Amino acid sequence: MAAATPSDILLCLLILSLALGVLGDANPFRGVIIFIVFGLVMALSWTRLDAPDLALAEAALGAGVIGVLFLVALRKQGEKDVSLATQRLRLNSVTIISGLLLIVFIVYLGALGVFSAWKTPGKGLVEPVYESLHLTGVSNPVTAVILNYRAYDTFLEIGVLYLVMLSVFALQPDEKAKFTSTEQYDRMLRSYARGIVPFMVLAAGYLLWAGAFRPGGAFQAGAMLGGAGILLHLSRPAMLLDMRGLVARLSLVAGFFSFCILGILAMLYGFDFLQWPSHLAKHAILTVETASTLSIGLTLTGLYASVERKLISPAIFYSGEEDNP
Amino acid sequence: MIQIIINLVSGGLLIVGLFFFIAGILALWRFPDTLCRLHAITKADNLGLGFIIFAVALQVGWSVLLLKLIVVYLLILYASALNGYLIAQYAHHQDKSNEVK
Repeated sequence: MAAATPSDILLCLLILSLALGVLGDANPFRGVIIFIVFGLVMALSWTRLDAPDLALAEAALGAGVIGVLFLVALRKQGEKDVSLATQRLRLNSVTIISGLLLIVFIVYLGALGVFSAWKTPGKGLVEPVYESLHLTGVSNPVTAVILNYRAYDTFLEIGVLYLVMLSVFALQPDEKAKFTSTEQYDRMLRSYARGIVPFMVLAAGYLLWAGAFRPGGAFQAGAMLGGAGILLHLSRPAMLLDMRGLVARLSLVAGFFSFCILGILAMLYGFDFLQWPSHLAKHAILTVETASTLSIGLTLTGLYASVERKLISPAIFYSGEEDNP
Repeated sequence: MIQIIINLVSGGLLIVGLFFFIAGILALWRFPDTLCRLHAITKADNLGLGFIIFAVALQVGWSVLLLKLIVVYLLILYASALNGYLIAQYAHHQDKSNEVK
């Protein structure tokens, strides 16, 4: 690994000060803007660490989608309660003690990290990862780790995303979702969305496929799909996301279920849960990645639609009349 | 010899591009209202990025990468034009509703 250059140190300081800005700024709006900048600088630092996979995911999810969700949530909050905006962190015994404890904890963790790095020099798991890369069915080491060596982690991550969507469904107001927005259609935005969304879907497909041999994969592709969904919602204020249909529900659970089914299939053939036999690994990975891309994209779009009150949850059954079937 | 000339030219273009970016940031910082800032930064950024893309294109030469660079530049132009329009539209509406009040 190359030594740290001055620009690296500058990048680290920038990340630290931005993190402080996110937490310390009394104005939530500025906090969110700093958070978005923080995400972009983090993406930059991932690029510097030769991890373009993470940089892509960080820029699309950390800065993009989450930034949008924060902004919308803030707007909704502002409509109800303005007093939160002027709340400041007060210095009293509780904040001082917890601050001191936090500092001690951070120093402890830092010392531990430095100590263990000093005690065990070497490349860690890099060599074993490359040694058995030919058995994983993919040639991109990051994808190999995410979907083969540590497929169990990814399985649980997809499960968490699914749980998030389920809880959002449960929290939907029990009234008929309706077009309450007063925003007008913006013709420029609509024509932009029309032009760009097909390219975004294409790019998502490319990212998914590229994940096998270069930076890319399900999370990046899913973020791209989610971005396309959010753009569609922005350009059509009256659009509702109806999740009651069979296709929508299946797409939502596709990632989680494909992991389950393929994992159990592997067990039936005498392997461990989520242990891919090496000659079938490529197909298994491609299947779960495709399904997960769909699920991630739909979940992200659904999260946006739900904060905008434009989500029709499958938990809601309307009796009688239907306005727009 | 040719490589040295290419390096010099692309380095110069990079510096010109950075100059426009810095000018845009200064404008964002110093100009009085949203529309003025937008006017300055959209122009300066697009021009600055154009120079930087040109500089990188000189380095990569005739290849698929060149095509990708051009596509990236076009997509950014498209998106930044739309973003500028959306922000301006919003600021305009805010101004109008403030006048009514």
